[in-house]
Amino acid sequence: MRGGYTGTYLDVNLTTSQIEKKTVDEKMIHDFVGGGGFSARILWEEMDASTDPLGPENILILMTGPLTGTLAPTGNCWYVGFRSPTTGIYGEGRGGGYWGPELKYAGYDYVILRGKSEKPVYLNIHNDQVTLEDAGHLWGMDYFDTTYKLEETHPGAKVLGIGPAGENLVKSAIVMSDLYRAGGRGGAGAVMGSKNLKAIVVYGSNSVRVADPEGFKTILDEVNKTIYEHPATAQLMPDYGTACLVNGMNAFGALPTHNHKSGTFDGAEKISGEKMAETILVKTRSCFACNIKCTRYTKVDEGEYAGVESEGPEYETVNAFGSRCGVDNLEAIAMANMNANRLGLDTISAGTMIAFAMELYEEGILTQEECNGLDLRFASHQAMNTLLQDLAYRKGLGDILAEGVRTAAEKIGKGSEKYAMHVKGLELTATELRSAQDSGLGHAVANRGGDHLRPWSPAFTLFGFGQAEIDLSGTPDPIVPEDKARVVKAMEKAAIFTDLNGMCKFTVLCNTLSPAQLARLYETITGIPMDVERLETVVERTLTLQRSLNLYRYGMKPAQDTLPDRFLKEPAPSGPAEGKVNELSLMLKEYYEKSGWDEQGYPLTERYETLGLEFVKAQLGK
Amino acid sequence: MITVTIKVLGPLIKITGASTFTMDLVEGTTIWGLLEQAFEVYGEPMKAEVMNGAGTDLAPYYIILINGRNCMLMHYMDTPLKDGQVIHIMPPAAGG
Repeated sequence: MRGGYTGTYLDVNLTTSQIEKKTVDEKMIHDFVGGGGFSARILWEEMDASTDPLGPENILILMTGPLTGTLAPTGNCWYVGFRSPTTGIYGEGRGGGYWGPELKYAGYDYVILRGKSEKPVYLNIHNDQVTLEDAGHLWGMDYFDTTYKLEETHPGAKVLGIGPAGENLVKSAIVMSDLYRAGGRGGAGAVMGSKNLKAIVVYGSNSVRVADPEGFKTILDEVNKTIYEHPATAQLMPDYGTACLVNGMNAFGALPTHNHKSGTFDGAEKISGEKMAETILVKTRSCFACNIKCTRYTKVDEGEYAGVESEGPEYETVNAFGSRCGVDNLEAIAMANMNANRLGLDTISAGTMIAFAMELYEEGILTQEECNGLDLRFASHQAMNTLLQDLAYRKGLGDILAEGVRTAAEKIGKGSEKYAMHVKGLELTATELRSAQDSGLGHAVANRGGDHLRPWSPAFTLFGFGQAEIDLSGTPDPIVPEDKARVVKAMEKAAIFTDLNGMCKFTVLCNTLSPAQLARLYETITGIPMDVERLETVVERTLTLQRSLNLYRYGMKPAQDTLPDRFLKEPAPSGPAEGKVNELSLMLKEYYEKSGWDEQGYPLTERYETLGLEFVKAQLGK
Repeated sequence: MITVTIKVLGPLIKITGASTFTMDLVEGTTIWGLLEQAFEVYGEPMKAEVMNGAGTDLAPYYIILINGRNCMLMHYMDTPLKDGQVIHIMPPAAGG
């Protein structure tokens, strides 16, 4: 008997308040595994070019993977799929915590949300009982208070929801769960807000079946041993959290600084994981079934930011509100992190937009008056924290930035486009793309736009975490383009599979677990045969379907597989890549070829056949 | 004599007591030579952290950068150092 999946999903129409329980399609399970695979498959059926991302016709899918809620290490992920209002293309995200497992325990693999409620509501899932409840008293409340209120009303339940940013349709609004877990870059929170849906409360008392308990126990022992013996998962992440990267990235000249102008920051040590550990760190925490424990719980006891208390900030957040904004004040970054969580904002995109505005201010493109009266120079952390609030509430400049950095630059004009750091409309992340050429390729081809996790190849090209099983060994040179497409393709296997199976990407980020181990975990839990070859096919099938959605449903052109001119035309001003630009075109050509796409970047017709995507092929040109 | 700046990360900071310090070296000193002198100053704890069990090579995943470039891309431990260079001694780093 099969395990992993509950086999049931919820289809919720917010316009009609109709809630249906439906059976998960068997073929979809076998072909797409879960998470981002399921969402791409469902969106392909339901979306077309005319779908307004913030209209009732867009759907928001909250998903899990087959390993979510099991004791597979980090089996805690939920995923969200949608058409992004920020980019206009495929949108997806993931979050950890406890909400995903709870949804499985309530009996559901995923929830489709469609339509738009007339008034604010929240979805209450209590095992079989699923109802829409009035959320008038919650609308306008920040995400933390929303959670506290709903936890009072529904003891023991887990809460996923949005903050004011989502209600205000801010394009960098995100979906939050378990107070501090976030997912859905590209405006998932705005899509949820557009539906007048404030939260999804889940309580479950069932369990997730494991098909082969003995086999699972054997592979579980093996993968736990691997995790406990790998320096990234056994030492660095537990000791310093993801912010352990700050000093290392800075050493490689790969720490984006001053809106990506350079990759080295003089104040790096002051905002590093090491500094966090000796100052504001209170304790470490973990998500469900996690044995890595990267989460930091921090508290500021004195000074102008006294009282700030939150989980994080993570590396990406430290970079976004830190060196990218020229801020070397860790407490100020902790404040921005806490408020972004409360407001339901994506810290990466929010930081990118504030850094963009700071550079425009320094370049004289924006005046102080146009910056809501703020003296918005780089390093001004008070101004940064004020603008963050203005962004969530669409006040003045915040209203312009709320449309995303690409659209904001179009509105502001005056040459501001060259300072807008995005790919396909999604704001860039915390890797300098001249110092890590491979990451430039990863960002350029990611299906949701400027995304660092497809995969985070600098784990190998900078930090040397290779893996014999995927033929990554030796010392690659990060500042040359040669062989980088092979590296990105090799690391995609495990990275993308964890977008489907319910496990946290940190188990594979530094090539800790191998594709073979992931396949065995999946096989023992679900009872569905899986090996490395099948896993690779599932990954390629998913990536090709997501790309086809972008190309044939959402009107994306392959020419959008590019980077801002800052990386392609402005030589790095300092660091090991000084004088170099990102040589993307060389890497793209090789990547397309390895992916079975033509020279322009369109998947070859025969590729659809070999990947079992005949349903896509049949609709091409329609 | 030449002077180089040493930057250490992670658990090494506790051992050296500072994340940044300078060392004066004889001209032509290699990474090996630098480490030997550092071990004399900071003792067995630093050696145990940076080197493998046999003391013959760096510990797994340890990286030494010369001006931001992995010394593996030069002559590894035999790379001669020059005046004014910044040397990072880095334990494995991870995150995202």
